[in-house]
Amino acid sequence: MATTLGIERPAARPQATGQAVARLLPAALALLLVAWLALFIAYPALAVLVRSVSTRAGGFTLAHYYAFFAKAYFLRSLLNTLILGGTVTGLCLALGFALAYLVSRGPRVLRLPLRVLTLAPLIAPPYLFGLALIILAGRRGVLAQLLDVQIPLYGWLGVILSQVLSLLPVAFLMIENVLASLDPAMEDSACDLGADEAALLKTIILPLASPGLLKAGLLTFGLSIADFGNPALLGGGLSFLAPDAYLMVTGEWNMEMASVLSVVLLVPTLGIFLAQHYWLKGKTYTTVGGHATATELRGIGGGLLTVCLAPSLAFGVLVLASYGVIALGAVTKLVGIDNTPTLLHLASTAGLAAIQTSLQVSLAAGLVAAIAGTGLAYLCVRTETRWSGLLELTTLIGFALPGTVMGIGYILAFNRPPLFLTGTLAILILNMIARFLAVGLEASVGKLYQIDVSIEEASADLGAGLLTTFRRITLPLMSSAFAAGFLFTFMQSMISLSAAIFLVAPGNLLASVYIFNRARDGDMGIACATSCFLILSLATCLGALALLARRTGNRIFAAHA
Amino acid sequence: MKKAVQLCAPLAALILLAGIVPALAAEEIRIYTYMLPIQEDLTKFLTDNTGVQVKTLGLSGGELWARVQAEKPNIGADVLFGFAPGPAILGKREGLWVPYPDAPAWKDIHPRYKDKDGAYVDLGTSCFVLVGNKDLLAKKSLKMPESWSDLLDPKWKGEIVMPSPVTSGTAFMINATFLQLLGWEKGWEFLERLDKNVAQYTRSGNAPLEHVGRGEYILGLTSDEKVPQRLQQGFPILWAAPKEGLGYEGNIVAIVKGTRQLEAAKKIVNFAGTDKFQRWLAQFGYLTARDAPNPMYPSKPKLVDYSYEWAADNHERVIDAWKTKFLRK
Amino acid sequence: MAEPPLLRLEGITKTYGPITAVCEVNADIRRGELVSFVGPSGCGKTTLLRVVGGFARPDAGRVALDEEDITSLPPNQRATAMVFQNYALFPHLTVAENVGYGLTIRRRPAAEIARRVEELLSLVQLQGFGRRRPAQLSGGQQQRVALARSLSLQPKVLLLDEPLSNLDANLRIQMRTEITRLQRDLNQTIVFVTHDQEEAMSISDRIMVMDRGRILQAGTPAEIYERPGSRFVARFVGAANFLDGTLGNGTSGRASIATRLGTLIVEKVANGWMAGDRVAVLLRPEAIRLGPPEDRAEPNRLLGTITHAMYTGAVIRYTVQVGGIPLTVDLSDPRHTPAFRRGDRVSLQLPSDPHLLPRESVVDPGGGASSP
Repeated sequence: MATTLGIERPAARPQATGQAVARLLPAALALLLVAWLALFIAYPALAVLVRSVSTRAGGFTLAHYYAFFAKAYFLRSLLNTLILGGTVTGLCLALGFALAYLVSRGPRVLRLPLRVLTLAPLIAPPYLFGLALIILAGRRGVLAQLLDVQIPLYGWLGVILSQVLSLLPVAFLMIENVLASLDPAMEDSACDLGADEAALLKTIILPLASPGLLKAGLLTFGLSIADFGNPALLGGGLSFLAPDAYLMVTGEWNMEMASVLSVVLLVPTLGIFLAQHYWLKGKTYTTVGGHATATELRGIGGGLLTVCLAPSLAFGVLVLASYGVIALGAVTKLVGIDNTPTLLHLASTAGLAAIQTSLQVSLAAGLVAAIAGTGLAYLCVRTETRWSGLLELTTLIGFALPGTVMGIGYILAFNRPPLFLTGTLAILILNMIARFLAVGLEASVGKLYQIDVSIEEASADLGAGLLTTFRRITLPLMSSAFAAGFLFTFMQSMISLSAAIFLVAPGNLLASVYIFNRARDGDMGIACATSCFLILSLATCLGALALLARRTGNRIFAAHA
Repeated sequence: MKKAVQLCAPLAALILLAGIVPALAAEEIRIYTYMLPIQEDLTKFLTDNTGVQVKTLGLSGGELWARVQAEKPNIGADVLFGFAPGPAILGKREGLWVPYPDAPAWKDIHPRYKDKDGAYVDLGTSCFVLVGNKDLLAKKSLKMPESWSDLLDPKWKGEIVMPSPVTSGTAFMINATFLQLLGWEKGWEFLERLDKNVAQYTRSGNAPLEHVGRGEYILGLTSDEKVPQRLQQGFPILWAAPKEGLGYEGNIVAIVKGTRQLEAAKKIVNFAGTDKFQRWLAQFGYLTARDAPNPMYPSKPKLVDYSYEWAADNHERVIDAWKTKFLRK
Repeated sequence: MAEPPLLRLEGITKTYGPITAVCEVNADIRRGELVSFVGPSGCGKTTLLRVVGGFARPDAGRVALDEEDITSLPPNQRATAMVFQNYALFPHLTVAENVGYGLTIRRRPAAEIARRVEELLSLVQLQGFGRRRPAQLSGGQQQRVALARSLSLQPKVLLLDEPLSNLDANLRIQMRTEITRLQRDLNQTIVFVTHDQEEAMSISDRIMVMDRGRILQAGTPAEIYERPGSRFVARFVGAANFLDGTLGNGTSGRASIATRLGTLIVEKVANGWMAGDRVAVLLRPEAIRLGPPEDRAEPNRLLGTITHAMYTGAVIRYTVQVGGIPLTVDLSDPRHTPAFRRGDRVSLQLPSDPHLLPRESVVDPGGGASSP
């Protein structure tokens, strides 16, 4: 509409209905969103909690918890899980830092390849590396045959390695972000005062990056202990909480113990997650005062370069080898044993059907999560609802809860009328939305804080109502956050396993579950082939989205500004 | 932004709809099955021959029963096609099945393959066998054991793989077989000594076959369901039925109470009893209810005396005991 | 008796891609001097400073400190110390730890560090602030900590990159005094970069005016102000009026200049000017005297009308239209001097010895007389 001041003003709205709607709308939306969150996040979580303290008859009891803590077996499982988390976190932080340091300050020629290699695991199901490692280093793996050496893969080595491979990208991204936000003048200053590279790292870079590193570490720890696929595939005789909870459900129909295990898993995960979100919020050592001037990057000295480069290259090689081996496995009869090429695996239709289902679920979940996240963020930031804190917290809980817990919770919550959803596609979609909504929400919230409220006020001043302002001004400005929410939910839905494995039904098999089952049954060829299709379809979708973004001038993939 | 949505929306809608439309079409039946090795072929064969759109979910024995228990009374399947006799008996006691006593195709089949009240039918039995890797045996100059007790020999330490009864029906069958063969006390003794040689307990009953076929372990106790297939594909395996005999279990089919596709379900059950289906099934090595050419067992192997009732009654007890003894740290 | 310069820059050139930030810069800086590099944003002064400090490698040229070539030395091996524009204090260390950082790196004994830190904090008048963290300090305090920190290693040259630009007006003036005091007390050589000419003028021993990567003129503040070499420099360091004219004949430093507003008689014409030269006469606002309009025609007296008056406390700045040309004239001490109002007719007494610039100097987008 023409906005030349004073010349054209839109006709005055009919006062009553327009204003009433405008006033009620935020409240109605808020109510809707609250109801949704309560139903699909809080209710299943509570169902798990309640079940863990119920007897079969329906009474209250702590007997199950006694049983948990009394049995050496369960305590051992808990201990293993925590040890795993700690070890993997330590390794991811160290390696992630080395990689981030290299990428941000190392030789230019290495930057792109290292980034690609480090982020490559993101488009694969997290247990893909478990699969690849089995083929590579299993008892009759490629390495065993080539070098005639037996690698004790099943057990600690396999689980730790596969987790490091799949969780590193997350740690890397966070650490890279932290390093990039350090004021370069600080390093120049330290240098000016005589610090050499090692001293610089020790006294300036590491201390300043430490809150960011802590955050990355906590997140990695949370992801590690909630991981289902890798420990299940490579655990060997070791027990871990997430696979154990799964076994409780699927092997013994013992929902009570499964719930107890879920609660035990939930407490540290939730605690850690909330700690790193609320406590570390804003506790970063970024620029203190003034603006940074353009600097020349200094480069890394020889000794430090080698220290960073060696493990980074090893990691890169492993990633490449893993993908390579998966590709090989898809086209050979029995990779490693009978290497005759075959197209049989690739022709399997069940896998393709599973991928189609995954695409449907992921697209739907992604769209809804992005829209809901944006709307929710707007509610929390712009309108003065008292519910904002609670809304945000609930959404975060959905994200922080281990997939296993959400899966079990959904079975418990939605297996009887009035909300009888088990077995449907809907429950899968809803589960994915509930689990990944938080990312879109946080991205949108962050973006909204950057959009000065006066922009929207100006729009209102020129005659636009609430919805129009949202549609024409706020939403376009928030498009990158919207895209981030969509992309994250889409990608995670495609590859996530730990909740989906409980919720699949005849005809509604998700690719991640299909691949996992095939792998566990030893059908490596089909597992690899379907994995290849999964990765390909994921990469294609992402590529299409990127292309679309560039065409419409949308900087969807711009770093979170 | 607008353009992006305009372009994305139809694409997304297309993909979404592509799933819904066929679903609304034909008559649909949901099946849970534990016949994992032949799951895809089974789905296709049933669909092609009955005109009913069959959708299956494969679950190993323990998982299947657990799911039924978790989901009841709103079980997510219309038919359970291929599951263990123990749970079948338990399910009948709980009233979970819809009896179909006068299925025409089953009329002339031997009564021991049918429940006396028609609550369920037995497709045929599968056994568990001992498999070994040809190449590895040759490399170590060893021969296939001829008796189950040979497996206790320390020379097999770390080279045996078998399934876990927590998830696998086959494994349950294996354990129950030894317990019934040797009695409770001696049976557990045997299993405990065997455990010292076992490298891994797998999730499903056929996984040992894969591991042995790939040469990861020398010996495996596995369900016979996939053996003929693998042999045909050229897996370097040998199989044997040790002299004490093989344990076996039926593959039960039952119609789930509460199904809304009763007619279609009946069609499926009926088809399962036809000669056509039984012949088809036999080619995989199942000892079918109707006599049919069986590539694996040219004649009936020696079977251990196995009671389904005992299995049903002691299911939980066996699994509990197994977990306490064998679930490692 | 010429002591060799402490810091010598020869032919420094630095490009970033297609942009030439610094072009063929030569400069000598003597021990104990405070030299400022001034110029508008983007003139290359910060880049030059960074080259001296070792944070940027010049594409061509040489930097010599105490006759030693330090062009390729990294910053931690140069005897220079820099105070960054945003101070770059280490937020995770206390004030004392910040100040003592350089010494800590050199592994000096703890007692020595403690003593030096105390000394330095006293020097910048922050005694007792040792335990605080940078985030708890005000802008001025942070700046002093940054100063103290840089002085801790007794650098031969102290580099200051627009250190006062983040402070408010009063604080800025205060800090200027501080810096000059430090310079005197320690006989510290300082290279100072700023875009604020008033700042540069008030504290520098010498000023180098830069534009687009080159040094346009170097000299003492007085030289720069009173005898700028180009309109750009003239305008950069203060308000200026220019009157274009042609030099006429004259003897012993006295000549006439024919301008649009009449003929001016000027004294002390510098050597090198010749009759017929096209000149621009520099008239600073404070050098023109306003008075009531009188008929008495005197040399260098013009008549004009006041079109604008701006009271700024210390002066009233008038815009006076003279023959179609607006001139800026300052009237100081408005309390005790009769003031004029808009519309008044006034006489303007021009100085008898204004500075002359070549007329075709630096392309002047403003054209004619104007103030910066």
